[in-house]
Amino acid sequence: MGDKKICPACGSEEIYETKKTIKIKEPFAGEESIVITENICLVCESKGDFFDQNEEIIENTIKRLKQKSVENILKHFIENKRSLSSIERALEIPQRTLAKWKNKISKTSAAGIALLRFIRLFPWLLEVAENKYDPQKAENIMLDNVMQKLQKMTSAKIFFDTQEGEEINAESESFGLIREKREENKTLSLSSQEIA
Amino acid sequence: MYYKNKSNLPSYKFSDFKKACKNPKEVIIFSDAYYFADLYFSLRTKKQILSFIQSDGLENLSFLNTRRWGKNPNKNNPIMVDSYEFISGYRKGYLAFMYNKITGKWIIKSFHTSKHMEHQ
Ligand SMILES: [Zn+2]
Repeated sequence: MGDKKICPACGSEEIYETKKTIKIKEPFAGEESIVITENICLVCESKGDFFDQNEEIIENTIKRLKQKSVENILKHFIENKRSLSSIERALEIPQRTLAKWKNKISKTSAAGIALLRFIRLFPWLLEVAENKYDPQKAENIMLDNVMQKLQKMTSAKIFFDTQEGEEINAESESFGLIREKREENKTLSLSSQEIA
Repeated sequence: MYYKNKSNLPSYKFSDFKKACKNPKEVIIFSDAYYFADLYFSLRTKKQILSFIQSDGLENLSFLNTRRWGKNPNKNNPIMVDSYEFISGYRKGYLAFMYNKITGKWIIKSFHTSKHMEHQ
């Protein structure tokens, strides 16, 4: 077959090459447009990267964006007065690890990137870690956060409803349910402490 | 849900396809399959797709059917397409592949969720 370029699906030599722009997205890093090559067979209409010409550029772009994502997340914590060393302590990861990731001194592992994304989305997970992943405390921390969120939403609702002159009930059904669950957890937590 | 032909047997041994996935040069992924593998399964590069298949990422793999590749221009070299359903995490997926013995290449024709086809 030699070096002649053929369609891998049907074997035809009637293939042509086209360029197309695709967007690569990464959470907390935005997106980047890159130009890739697409081969099209005129005989069987197959389309694809027949000669592996795009793999490198796609991989490198993803890598670059992932690094940007790490830097943005860590920058966010610093800006919000959460020190990197306190995060490292809570997560029990060696001190200076995050700074090394941020400054590209060491490569962030895929697991590290996933972890950073979770704590960026749910910062209260750090409090869960500080409480040694105790399931009941973890649930309380989560519910407290939901309560705070709901309170914010409810006060916004009160504000808008009052503006419209309507009577409102601040204690929504879900709000009450969460409070009940939290009280139940506290009782459970107390009784387990008594047992211990 | 796809039509499952129970009397039908796959045209290829899945283990041969899986073995080929070790060597990226032996496998070509069609543009659509590549796009949907990223969209639905976060498999973003050829390396990731092949490594996923090779390391048994396709759970509860179940053969659906085998059929002739309709766009094959060479009637002297019939090419069959095998289709499978699989599970991964919360998603049910669909995979279709074929092999051209003249070019010596495995082709991943489709790689998407089962729901995807129902919406087409
Ligand atoms: Zn072709």
